[in-house]
Amino acid sequence: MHVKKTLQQVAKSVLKLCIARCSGISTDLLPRRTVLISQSKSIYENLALEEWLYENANLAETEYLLMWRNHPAVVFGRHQNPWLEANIPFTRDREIDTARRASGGGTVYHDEGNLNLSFLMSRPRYNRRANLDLIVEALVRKWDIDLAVNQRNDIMLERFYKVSGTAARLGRSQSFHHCTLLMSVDQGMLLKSLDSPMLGVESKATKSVPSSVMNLKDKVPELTFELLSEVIGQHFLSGSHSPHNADKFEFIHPLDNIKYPGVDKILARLLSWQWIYGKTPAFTIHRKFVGVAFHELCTLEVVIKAEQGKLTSLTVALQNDIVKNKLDSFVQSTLSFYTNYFLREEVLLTPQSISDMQQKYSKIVSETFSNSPEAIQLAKWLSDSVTSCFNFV
Amino acid sequence: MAASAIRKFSLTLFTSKVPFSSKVIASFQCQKRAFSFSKCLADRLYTDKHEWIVIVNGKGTVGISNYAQEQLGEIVYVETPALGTTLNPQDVSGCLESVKAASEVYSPVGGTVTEVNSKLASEPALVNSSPLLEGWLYKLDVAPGTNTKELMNEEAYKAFLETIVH
Repeated sequence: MHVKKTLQQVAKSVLKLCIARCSGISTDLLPRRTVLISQSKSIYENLALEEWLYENANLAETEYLLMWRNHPAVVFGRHQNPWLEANIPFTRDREIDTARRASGGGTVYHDEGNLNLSFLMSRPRYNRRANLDLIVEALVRKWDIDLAVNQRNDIMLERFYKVSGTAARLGRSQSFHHCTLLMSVDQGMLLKSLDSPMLGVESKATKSVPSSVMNLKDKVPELTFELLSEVIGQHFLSGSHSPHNADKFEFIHPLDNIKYPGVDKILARLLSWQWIYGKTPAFTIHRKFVGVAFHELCTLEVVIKAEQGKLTSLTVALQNDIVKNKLDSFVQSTLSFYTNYFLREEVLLTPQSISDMQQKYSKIVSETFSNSPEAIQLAKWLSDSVTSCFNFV
Repeated sequence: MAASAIRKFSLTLFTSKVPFSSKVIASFQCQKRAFSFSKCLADRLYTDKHEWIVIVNGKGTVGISNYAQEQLGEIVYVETPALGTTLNPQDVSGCLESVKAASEVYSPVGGTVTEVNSKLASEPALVNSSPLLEGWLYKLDVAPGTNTKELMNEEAYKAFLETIVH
């Protein structure tokens, strides 16, 4: 009974295949495949093209494997906190791009030694595991290496080292699954870029899972971007059952506004502070500092709350009653400074915005308490402590 | 093979024809959660992308179906629309993140967002444990003249689920 049914199903699908081949009509079952190799090395431009295809291409008709490499960049997931996942001051000093993806998952570091692959398919044909298997299959056929996909959908080299990170975005009728493949990434820069200096944070943002990584080039010295994209691209095309001869490689530029009308608008959004940092889920920082004020040991507590990349509150509290009583007016004026400041100004988590706030604080304190050196000293300690809470910005 | 068998099994569980006992469970939950009785009786309407909406006096509550949450797996982050957002039918109105995947949610009808489920910020997995009640996503003032004929009622949605081929 079971065998009979299976045979019937096979017969049916063979029939469908014949019909499609004979008539040349594209059906949902048989999308064409195209490999796109991007000539751009900008993470933003490539993500913009990926989004353009996701929004505009008929993925049921043609599915794409888009591949690119980009200049050094830290790329975090849609619902992540960049300050918690990366060392933002370090990336700024070294001119490493920071980008937010529209897909889920964790933070990755890319440089030109990394191959980015994006499988754009219709929602019903979305299959992360099949794509990863395709990559592994292509590599293992060509080179004799120990590569396998694990339970977390990571491609593992010699069962221990992660060589690929995966993430996906799923929509109404379309999807993409993109992943990284480490060829010869600078691991020192990778570790430094992803080492956040942020302390005392509470957040519900998606957390990354750190892994031991290895470069494929350590096992396959001849590996290059061109070779790897060719090998995987060809394997992608060979997996197509489309009756059309349209399966092909295309070398494209993402900012081709004639081919991809409106891609520049997507790019502008991906480059905006509002998207990269403003989309950060709400978080709270809770820090304690111990110091001496008025010859008394006391604890200073700082609590900072932020939403959408903006400060929403900042409170400071001295936990020593003697100092508190002596300096009640001082503590009150400090608190009211921050409260009033928030009512007047929008404080974005940018170096400029934080530095402006702290400079105004110092100025007001030195004007108000100019006759008390102890108060000025305490104010400096307080100001330095608050500033150090923003070391991640 | 095993995966498809499991999927089929869970689908059967969900669509099993035991309307009496499921109604008993539903009304029990309503009493337990102190939900108004009228809300339970109002039709839950579904889209073909597995969102649901319950409309009472022009106020809509939106969530995702049990089938959808099963497909997504453990939800780790819920992005809800901003209050006051005006949505057209089928606009992207939110996003659910499960393991490494961000799945977009589409608004079943048009309207203006009046409330979001703030509990989901700290407990996103409520969408898994209670997709039809505690795991609701947002509420909206349904746009005047909204037509819900395109949406499926409970019966039609169950029949629709049976047709989904994996």
